[in-house]
Amino acid sequence: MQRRDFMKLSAAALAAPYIVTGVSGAARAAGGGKRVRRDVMKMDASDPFFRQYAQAVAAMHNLRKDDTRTWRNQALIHLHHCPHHKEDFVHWHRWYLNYFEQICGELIGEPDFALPYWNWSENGGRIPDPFYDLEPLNVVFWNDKSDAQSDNWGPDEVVTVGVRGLTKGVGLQDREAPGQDFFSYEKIRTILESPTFEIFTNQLERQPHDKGHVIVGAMPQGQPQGHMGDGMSPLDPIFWLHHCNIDRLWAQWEAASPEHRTVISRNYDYSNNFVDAKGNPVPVADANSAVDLKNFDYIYDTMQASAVELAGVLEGAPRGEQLLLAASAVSAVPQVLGSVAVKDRASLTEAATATVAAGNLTDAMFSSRVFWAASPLAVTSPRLAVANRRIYATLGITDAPGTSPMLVNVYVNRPKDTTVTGGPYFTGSFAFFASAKGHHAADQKVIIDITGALHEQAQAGLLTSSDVTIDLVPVPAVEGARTDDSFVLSKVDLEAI
Amino acid sequence: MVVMPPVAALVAVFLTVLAPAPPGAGEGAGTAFAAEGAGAAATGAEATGTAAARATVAVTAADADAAGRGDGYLTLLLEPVRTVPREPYLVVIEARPGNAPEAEAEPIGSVAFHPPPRDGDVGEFILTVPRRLLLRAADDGGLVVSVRLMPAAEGGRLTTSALRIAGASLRRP
Repeated sequence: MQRRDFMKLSAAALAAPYIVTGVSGAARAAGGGKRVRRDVMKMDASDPFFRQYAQAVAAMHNLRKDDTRTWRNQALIHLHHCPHHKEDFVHWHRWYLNYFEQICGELIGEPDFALPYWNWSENGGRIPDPFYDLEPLNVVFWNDKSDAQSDNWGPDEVVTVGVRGLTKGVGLQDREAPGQDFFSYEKIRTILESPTFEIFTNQLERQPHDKGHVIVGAMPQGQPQGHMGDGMSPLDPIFWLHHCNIDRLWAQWEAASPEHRTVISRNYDYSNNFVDAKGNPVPVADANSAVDLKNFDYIYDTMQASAVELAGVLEGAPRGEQLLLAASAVSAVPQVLGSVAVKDRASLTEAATATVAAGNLTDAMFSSRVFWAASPLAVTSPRLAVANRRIYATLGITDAPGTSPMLVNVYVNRPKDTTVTGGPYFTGSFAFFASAKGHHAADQKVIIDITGALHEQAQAGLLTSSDVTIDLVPVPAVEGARTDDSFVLSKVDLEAI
Repeated sequence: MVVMPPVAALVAVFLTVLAPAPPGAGEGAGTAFAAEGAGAAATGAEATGTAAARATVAVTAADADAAGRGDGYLTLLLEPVRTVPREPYLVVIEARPGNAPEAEAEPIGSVAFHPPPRDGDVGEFILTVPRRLLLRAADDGGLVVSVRLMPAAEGGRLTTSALRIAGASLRRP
């Protein structure tokens, strides 16, 4: 498609804004009135976002050169002002993204426009195909010149060109050293577990952030490097989604604990660093006002819809109602990962086994849930909290004994005949006790949290499939226990909460 | 700009003279380190596209205890010493207990320079060290950290680029 043709297409799309308004408006409603930033890796190529963003990029290229919102002028903001390897790296970029997103929405007449985030842990960390196929999203198409210097960035002129080293179909994870997976959910989770802001922001910036820039911009030795590798990196449309993911991970880390204070000792002043949707300089912005997402008109889809919806309801509600609403939001709707019906009898001489094909297992394991945390004793307003999602196995038990001197050890994916009560396969035990209905109790449900075992296996490289095998191994609880007790494992449901 | 970690955060660090690695292990232009005390920068071995630089960090039982039930954190100072334009690279960092064979080295991080590297501009990198590795290192000769470069570009190769380890220390959160 030639650029001229795209302009025609853009005009046609602008003439039918209801197409995109409907989608984004619904998303905003689901986001408690805020723009919802979604995972671009889970978007179909026909998602309206790609067309909208292409329109915005084209529109910014076509503004008068003296308009502060041009594609180049937006990149120059980065070159002149962005802090890197400093404590306010994430703070400054949150403002930068926020205003860029508003400019996009303004130029395409779509106030609900939201940037998605490039989730490097999905699909091998590939750049989505529309960033190659849809010309305005392909940095090659525009061939913008960098040719600028700022002491903020470095003494040398930036001389990158409109190319991407990361070609279509190749992902960030493909460019890692053999056997390494530092863009995986598991590794990103270790960054999210950083105990202090200094450790968190250093790991986030120096590892996935810096590497993402370098890999996307890296051309073989001697060739001009792509924009993403240097100070004019915002000239590549993928830049903004790359930084959205950084911002999302910061938001998750921020919300994970009251200990995660990201207010920094020096409140850097960003006055007039940015321009708003109309192109006017933003007179007031600073680092510490970026800390609280409540100051911004967006939210991430990793934040549960119930919590997001409550955000609007909670504001201004009487204190008692706030607490009740927050408490209800903590009870999240479980996601069923898989289920299997079996009929396998277990006794002291025989284990029962069931294997569940668990779709989205790793996704569920390494994602987090966001909820409103509140305590009746709390004196402050409920706040968003983040925790790793938990994986639960609900065991359907039939023909169970009443009180029995039998413990049942539960294993996940255990190697054949392993009976060690510890290590990455053992998750715990349960027992049968006190049935008032005679020797055999009614059908029972036993719920086991298998999150820890799965994570341990993943960290040790033992989790090689999304199939989850549950083994129930009865053992005598006391010496000399009778051996004729048995029960039937009838069903296993796996759920993520 | 040379970035140094806060002295208060440093824990009993030393850089030691290293025996050559086995053939094929990537040991190369390796001038050895002199022991210079906590967090001190030292002239040392160079990491290149074909050779690793190594440093040994002392790990005490107290360091492992300080990590509590969680992982430990290593601060690594890397100084580009030969930088050429248009030769982008990633930095691969591995670690093993001091007395363990090279084959047991495991990746603890992979980093890059953005803005691009400049000779003499030291970068500070914080890396997660799994608790089990920290515990083993406390009992087994400290933590040997190796650093090597790899091309960032598909089909790329590195002919000139090099950096050195300017400091390595465990930190307490």
